[in-house]
Amino acid sequence: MASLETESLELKGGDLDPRGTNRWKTAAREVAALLARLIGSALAVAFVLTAGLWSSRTMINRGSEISVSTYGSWKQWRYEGRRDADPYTRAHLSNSGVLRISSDSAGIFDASIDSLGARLHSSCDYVIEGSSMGSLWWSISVFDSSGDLIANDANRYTFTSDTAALNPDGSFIITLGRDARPGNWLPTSAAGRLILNFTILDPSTGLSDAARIERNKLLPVIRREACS
Amino acid sequence: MAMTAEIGTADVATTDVRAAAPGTAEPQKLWPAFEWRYVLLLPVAAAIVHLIATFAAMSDTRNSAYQRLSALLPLNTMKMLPPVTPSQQNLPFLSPDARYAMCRYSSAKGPVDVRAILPDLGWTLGVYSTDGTTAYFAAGATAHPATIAVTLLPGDDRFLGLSPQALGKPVGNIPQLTVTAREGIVVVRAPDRGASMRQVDEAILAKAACVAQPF
Repeated sequence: MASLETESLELKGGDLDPRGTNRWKTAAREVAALLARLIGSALAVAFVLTAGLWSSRTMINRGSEISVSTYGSWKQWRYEGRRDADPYTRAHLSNSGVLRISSDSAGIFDASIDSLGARLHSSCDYVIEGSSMGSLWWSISVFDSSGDLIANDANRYTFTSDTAALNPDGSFIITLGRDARPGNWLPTSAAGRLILNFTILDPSTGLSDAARIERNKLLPVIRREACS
Repeated sequence: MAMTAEIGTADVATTDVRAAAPGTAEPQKLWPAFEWRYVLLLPVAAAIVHLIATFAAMSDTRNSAYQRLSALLPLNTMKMLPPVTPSQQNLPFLSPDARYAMCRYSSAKGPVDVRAILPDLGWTLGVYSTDGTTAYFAAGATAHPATIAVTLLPGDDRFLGLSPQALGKPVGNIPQLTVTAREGIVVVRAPDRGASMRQVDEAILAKAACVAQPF
């Protein structure tokens, strides 16, 4: 009886009851645990999705050591256009909307930085110095960062081994800038960031791997002159 | 009373809330302990997402050159495109270093004959699949004009008719190559050799042909 009386008193006591306080604490802990699990799961899912998608997009859009070779300022998708290309190269080709000659028939190189690693920009003037490519046909074109040609009054967007004024030894100098210059000048107007494309066609008989390595050593150097 | 407290402690322990049993020295924690072993699974899960995203992007051709050019090019007909300029640039990074003749081909209903003259260095003929990979490529050589004749076949086991030889038709002296390519684009490229050569080059480029054979 005495025990029952004590218990009823405790129940009436409500908040003052240590067992009631424990119950609240337990409930709070359970809610906290649930919240922690929810937040933890959300963070884990967010991390997994962000890391997975970001790394995939980066390797597809910009390339990585797996799929891209770098020669100074120039980058080349090693297996572009080939049927045995890696998944990143294939995804890059089908997503970017470009149509390019296969890398086993031509060397196609893009540059978005100068020889010192600074981004190419229309506010700067550049000098592109290239060695003689022998009997290989080549072209150099300038685009904005979206891959669009840069409108200009001179209607100049590209030079090829046929249209550029070459030095007697076959080497060439092309200038890149907003203001007109004598010689092989490519206007950049106010395009902002620039991307240069250098294409060298293999001869009809093909090129050996050793000859390709030698060819890639002759890629032009992009030197920044001044910025305004 | 003591029994009630013990049962409560046991319940909390199963839900990972580290409430210490009454009378023990372990401090009570509001937040549950972190399961560090799950952290090891995160890079694995991220790698799986990476692979799925990459392969999905590989098979996603909605933005491919083929899709962009589909509306512009009639089926199995060679079309000479106007010179590439900022207002007439059909593809990103399409260089204006050449004039282009293109043909959207489909050999699903029968073979497609492609023919082009490559008179000099810089001239090329490429047969591309819908995803941009090259099925066939030929380049011209200096002072060595070549006529390239390619028959595009769908690559399945269907009977596609008798060869010209079997039909008793005269066979030209141009070697006819056969290439397995079901759908895609043929690109004939005439390099820009300067204003003096433009008309000549355009005339040669205009002779490029892409014709579906009757089947």
